Amino acid sequence: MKHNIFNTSFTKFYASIKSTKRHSTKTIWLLLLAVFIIVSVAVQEFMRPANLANILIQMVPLGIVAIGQTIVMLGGGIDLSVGAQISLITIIASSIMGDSTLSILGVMMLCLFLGSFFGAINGFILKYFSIPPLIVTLCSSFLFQGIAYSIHQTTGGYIPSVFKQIFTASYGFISVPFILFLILFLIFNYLLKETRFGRYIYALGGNEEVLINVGINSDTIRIKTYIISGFLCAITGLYIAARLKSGSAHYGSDYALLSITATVVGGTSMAGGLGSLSGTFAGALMVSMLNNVLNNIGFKFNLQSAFYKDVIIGIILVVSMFFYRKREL
Amino acid sequence: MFLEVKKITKKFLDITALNDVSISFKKGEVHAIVGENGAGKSTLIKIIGGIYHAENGVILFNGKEVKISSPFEASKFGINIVCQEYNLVPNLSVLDNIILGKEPVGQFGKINKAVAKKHLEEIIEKYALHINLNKFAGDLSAAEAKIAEILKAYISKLEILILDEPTAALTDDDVTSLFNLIAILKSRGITIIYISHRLEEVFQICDRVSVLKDGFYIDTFNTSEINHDLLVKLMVGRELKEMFPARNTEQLNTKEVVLSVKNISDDTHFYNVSFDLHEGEILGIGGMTGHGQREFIRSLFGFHSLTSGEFIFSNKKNEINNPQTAVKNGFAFLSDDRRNEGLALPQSILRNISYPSQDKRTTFGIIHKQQDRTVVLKLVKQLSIKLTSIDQNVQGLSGGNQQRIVIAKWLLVSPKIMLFHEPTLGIDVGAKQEIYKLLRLFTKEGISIIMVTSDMLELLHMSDRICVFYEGKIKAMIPSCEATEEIIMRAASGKKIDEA
Repeated sequence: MKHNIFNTSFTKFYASIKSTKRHSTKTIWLLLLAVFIIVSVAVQEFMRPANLANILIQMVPLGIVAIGQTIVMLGGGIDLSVGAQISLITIIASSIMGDSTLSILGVMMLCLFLGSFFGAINGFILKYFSIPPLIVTLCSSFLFQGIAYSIHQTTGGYIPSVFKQIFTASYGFISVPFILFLILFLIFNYLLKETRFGRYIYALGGNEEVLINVGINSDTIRIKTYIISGFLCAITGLYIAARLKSGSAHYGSDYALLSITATVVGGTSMAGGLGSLSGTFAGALMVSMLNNVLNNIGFKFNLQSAFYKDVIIGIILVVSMFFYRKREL
Repeated sequence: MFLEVKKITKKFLDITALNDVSISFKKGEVHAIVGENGAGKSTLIKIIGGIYHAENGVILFNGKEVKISSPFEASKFGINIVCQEYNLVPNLSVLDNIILGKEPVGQFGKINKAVAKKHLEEIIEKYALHINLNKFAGDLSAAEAKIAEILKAYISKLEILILDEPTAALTDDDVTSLFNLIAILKSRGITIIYISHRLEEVFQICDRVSVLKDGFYIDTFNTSEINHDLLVKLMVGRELKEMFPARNTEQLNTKEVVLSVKNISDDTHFYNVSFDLHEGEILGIGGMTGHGQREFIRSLFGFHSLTSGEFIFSNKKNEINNPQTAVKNGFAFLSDDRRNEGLALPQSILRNISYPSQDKRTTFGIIHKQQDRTVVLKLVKQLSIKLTSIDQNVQGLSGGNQQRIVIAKWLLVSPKIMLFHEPTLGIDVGAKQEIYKLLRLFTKEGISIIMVTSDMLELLHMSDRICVFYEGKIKAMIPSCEATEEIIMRAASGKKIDEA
C-alpha cells in the first residue's frame, strides 16, 4: 500500500514536470513579479496606493481585448482587426447614445450585437474564402477603420455623463471596470478550461484534422472564437467611449498589436493550441504596468515617454519569447 | 459478407495506386493485407476509412452500398482507422484526446472528467494496458500513442478497426501487449484489418490474408493454408535480381577511406558511433524507427551539434557544424521529408535543380540564365525525369520524379558523399527500380553513399555493408554477403546476432 502511494505521487510529480515543459504561466508571473519589485524600488511614486489602483484600471481595456485575442490565437488564428473594431464601436456609441436610460441600454445592446457581428464577418470570410486569418483580419481592419472615418473624421460625439459615471466608478482598489474585467476573465477562463467548447478551441489550434475526424464542425468553432473577440471588442469600445466621453477612429489603434503582445508574452503559442488566459492576464498587467511606470518617469525627467514605452515593450516581448523558445509547439 | 470493397480504382496523378480491387471481410476476423511498399495497401484502407475517395468501385457494408465521405462518416458505421501517422492533439492530455467529441457534460457545460476517467481506467486495468491518461499526447512514445488511438476507437462505436503498420515503431514488449489487445477486440466480434510488412505477425495473429501487388488484387488465403515463402513470392512476383541492380564486384575495403567517423555522440539520440566509409560504397543504416538513425544522419550534414567525437575526411580532422560546411566538403543530403526539406514545391524544376550550385553560374550576383537552362536540361535528360518543361512546378510531379530532381540538384555540386534518408519513400515500384540503378551508377563514379532506410529489402539488397542501430548505438555491422532479414531484425531488437 505504501509503495502504491509513493508510486502515484511520483507519477503526479512527474506529470507536473512534464506539463511545465509544455505550458506554464509560472514564467510570466515570476517575470511580472521581478519587474514589479524592480520598479517599486526604483520609482518612488509607483508604490502609492492610488497609482497601483490606477494600474489595475488602466489594464482593463487591454485585458478585455486580450481575452478575445487569446481565444482566437488558441484556435490557431489571429485577429488584427480588434483595434479598428474598438474605434468603430466608440464612434457608433458616441454618435447615437442619448440621455435616457432606454437609449443607453439600447445602444449598449446594439454595440454588443454589432461587435459580435463584426467578429462573425471575420469568421465567415475565413470559412468561405479560405484565406489566412492574418490577411482576412488585416483587410477587415481596413474596412472597419474606413467605416469609422466615414462616420466621424475627428474626435467627438456625445456620451451622457451618467454612462461615464457608472462605467468608471471606483472606490480605492475596487472599481467597476476592474470588476467587469475579472468577471469576464473568470467566465472565459471557465469556458476554456472546463467546457467542451473550450476543449475544441485547443484541439482546433493543436490539430484541426483530429477535431474534424471526431465529427466536430471546426469552422463553427473558429467562427465562434472570432465572434467572442468581436463581442469583447464591443465591451472595450463602450468602456473607452465612456471613459473619454467621446468616440474617435483612432481610440483603438494601439490595441491590435498590444493585445497580441499581451497574449504572446503570456505564453500563448502563435501556432495555436497552447496557452492560457491566466498567462494573458499577467501579460496585460505587465504591459500596463510598464506603461504606467514609463509615464511616471517620463513626466519626471521630461522625456519622450512614448518612444521609451515602445522600446521597453519590444524588449519585454523578446525576453519573454526567449524564455519560451525551448517549448515544444 | 460483413464488409466488401468491389472494383475499387484509385489514381494519383499519373500513378494508378489501386486497379479494380475487390476484397471481402468477415465479421470478427483479423484480416491482413500484405504487399510491397507501393502495392496500394495504405491507399485501400484509407478509402475504407474515408480519407481518400475512389474514382470507381463501391463499398458494401452489411450487404448495403455505403458512401464513406470522411473519417467521421466512417466512424458512424463503426469503422475506425489508426493510421501510421500520428493523429492526436499534442497539447491535450491523453484523456482529453480519447474523449474528444464525446465528452460527458454536467452542470454549466462543465466536462465531467472524473466519470470519463473512471470508465477508461477500468478498461485500462481490465486489459492491462500501459498508458498514463494524464500525460500530454505530445509526450507519448510511439506505442503509447497507438494504444491511445485504439482506445479512442474503442470507446466509440467500433465494428471494424483498421491498423496500418501498427508495429512499425514498436519494441517487442509493446508488440506483445498490442497483440493481446487485438485478441481481446477480436473476441468481442470486432473485425480487424491489419496491415504489416512483417509476415511473421500475419501468421501469428491473422485469420486470413489478402495480397496486393502494384495496385492489383492477387488473392486471399486462410493463413493456415499458406506458407511464408509462397506469400513472399505472390507479393514480390518478380525476381529480386530485376528489382535491384547487381553490386559492384570490386573489393571495397581495399579502396580509399573517404570518411572516418570516430566515436561521435550527441548524448540524447546516438552514442559512440564509429565507422569508415570507403570510396564507392553504399553503407546501409537500418533498425527500428526512432533508434537514433534519423538524428545521426542529420548530424552528418550538420543539422545537430555533437557533444563528442570527430570526423576525418580529406585526410584531416574536420568539423561539420552546419549544412554549409557539409556542402563545401562534398556532402549532399536527401531528406525523408522531400516536400518540406528537399524541394521548393511551388517553384520550377529549373530553380529547384540550380539552387545548390547557383554560385557556379553567377557573375557579380547576376545569374547566367542561358547556361542555367543548358546545364539543367542536360541533367534532366540524363536522369530521364518525365516533364513537359523545366519551367513547370515541382508540386504536381510524382514522388519518383521529385526524388530525381533532388538527386539532380545535388549532382551539380559534384558530391563525394551522398546521405540518403529513406531514398524511396513514397515512390512507386517502377520508379524505385530507376532510383536503385542511379545509386549504383553513382558508386561506380566513386561517390560514396550512406543510406538510412526502413525498407528491409532495400537495406538488404542495396547496401554493401549494413549497420544496425539499437538505442542509439551500432548494434551490428554486417557485410552484405552475411546479411539476412533474421540477423538484421535480431540486431534491431537489441539481441546479439549469434543469440538464438
